[in-house]
Amino acid sequence: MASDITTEHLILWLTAFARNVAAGRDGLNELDAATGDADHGTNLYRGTQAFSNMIAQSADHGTPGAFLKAVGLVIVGSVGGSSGALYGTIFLRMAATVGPQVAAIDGTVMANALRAAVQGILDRGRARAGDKTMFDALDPAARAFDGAIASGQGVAAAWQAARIAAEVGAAATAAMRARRGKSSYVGDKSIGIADPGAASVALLIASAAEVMAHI
Amino acid sequence: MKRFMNEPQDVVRDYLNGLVAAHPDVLRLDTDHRVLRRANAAARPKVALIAGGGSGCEPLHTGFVGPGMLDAACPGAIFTSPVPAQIIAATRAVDTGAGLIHIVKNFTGEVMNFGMAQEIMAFDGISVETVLINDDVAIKDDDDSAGRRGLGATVLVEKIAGAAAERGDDLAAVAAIARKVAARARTFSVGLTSCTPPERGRPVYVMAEDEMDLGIGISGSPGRDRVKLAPAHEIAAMLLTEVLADLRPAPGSRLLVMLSGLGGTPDAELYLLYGEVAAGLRAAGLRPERVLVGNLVTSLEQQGAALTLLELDDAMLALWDAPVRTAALRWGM
Repeated sequence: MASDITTEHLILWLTAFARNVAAGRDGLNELDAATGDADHGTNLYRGTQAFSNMIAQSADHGTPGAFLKAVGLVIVGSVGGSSGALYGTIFLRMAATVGPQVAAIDGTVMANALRAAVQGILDRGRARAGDKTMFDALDPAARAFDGAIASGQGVAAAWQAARIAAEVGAAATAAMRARRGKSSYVGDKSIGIADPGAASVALLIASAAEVMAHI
Repeated sequence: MKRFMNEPQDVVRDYLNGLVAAHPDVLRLDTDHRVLRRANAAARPKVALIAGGGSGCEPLHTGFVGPGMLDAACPGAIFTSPVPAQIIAATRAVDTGAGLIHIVKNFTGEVMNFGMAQEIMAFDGISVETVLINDDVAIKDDDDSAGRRGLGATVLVEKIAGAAAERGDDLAAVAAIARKVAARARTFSVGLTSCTPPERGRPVYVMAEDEMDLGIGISGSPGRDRVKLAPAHEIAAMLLTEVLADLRPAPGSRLLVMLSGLGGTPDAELYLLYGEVAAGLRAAGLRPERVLVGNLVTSLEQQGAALTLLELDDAMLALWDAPVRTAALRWGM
């Protein structure tokens, strides 16, 4: 089907994400400086550089599932910290949901993959809604994507809905008090500034919406 | 920022090269996996202790690898936990079949990456005991935070459990003494400045000249409370009050006292502060049986100090006094 997501689309997605992380690196570091150690952008950039190198080194990245798994492993192997474990888990769970065989991902499978990614960060990080984590951007994005597909919309429209939900979710973390991760150590001082993990997840989803706008 | 460095992103790799160059009798570096291990493999099977965490906290953990203490360490990027592949390589490198222990400080990233490493090793039938360190009394241990951080108690666990492993204790015994030390040690920290991660090039945050941060951790992050700077005797009293209120040692207890600088506080200042701590301990009827003062668990060049108290028993005391030969701690051998 014309509206299915191929490995080519995923490569465009990750390439756009790498570009957006490079441009947003300092901004993510500043969000992190308010409550943590000011390195979320730097750490994520190390991961996007690593998977960009992987993308450049081969002309054939196999099925979408194989590619998502390779990206997950590269992130787990290069980023470190909680963001490495969580971002790696997002991609590994999406890969597991898609499976190694299928040649293209339809909207329903992509929706399931995003829901599995959300479950992955829950399993790894024990976050709940409102804890001021990347969950607060990824969960609404996955729900919006799922809702759009369930109501008969295409993949492009589903990504747009997910992008808006992720950006609204990330912005809403500013008002939250952190209860997970390093920012939970500073108590009420975490209130007023968005969570850097939620902000970078919004970039991830926006990158997908950007490159799959006409799929 | 002025630093002895080549490229900011290479500081960890480059410092490790210098560390092994300085201590070839004790240390070997696996450059590919960024794993630091003992120069000489164990002559007979022994329980292996592996630790790791963000770099920038030296001598933790790399300075504590060697006979009588750690078998291997896996240093991550600055203030960023190591990755699973590194942890797996470190663990496999020192596995003699007698048992494996991961000493994990309770930081979200460290717990997740050690957890992922253990899940992956389980596929190969390798099982690892985890000893979680969470001695920081600045954090309330409830579900509204990531839980207490692992700070100074890490050094005491590595030394005491390391000595138990060295003398041939089995896995259960080494894990038990490690957990006992972790359970009876508490830490509270005060920061006078922030610090400058090399890739950032400027301080994580800026504090006024007349302020200090109470309840900080080890990554240059802000603390629990920002208050007015106070004389050393008042700061010592704050540190003692926080630690003792949580540790609640028995009257007349023997204590191991560790006063660690955060990297930017000179020894003379640390001893000045220790003098006030010692006076406070005596006034409270407690006995500082062993004392370790110096920059041991740090945040780059941050000015500040962390007080760790461990309520000792005879077994811990004997193991603390046992020989150790590492880059940063060395006695009896």
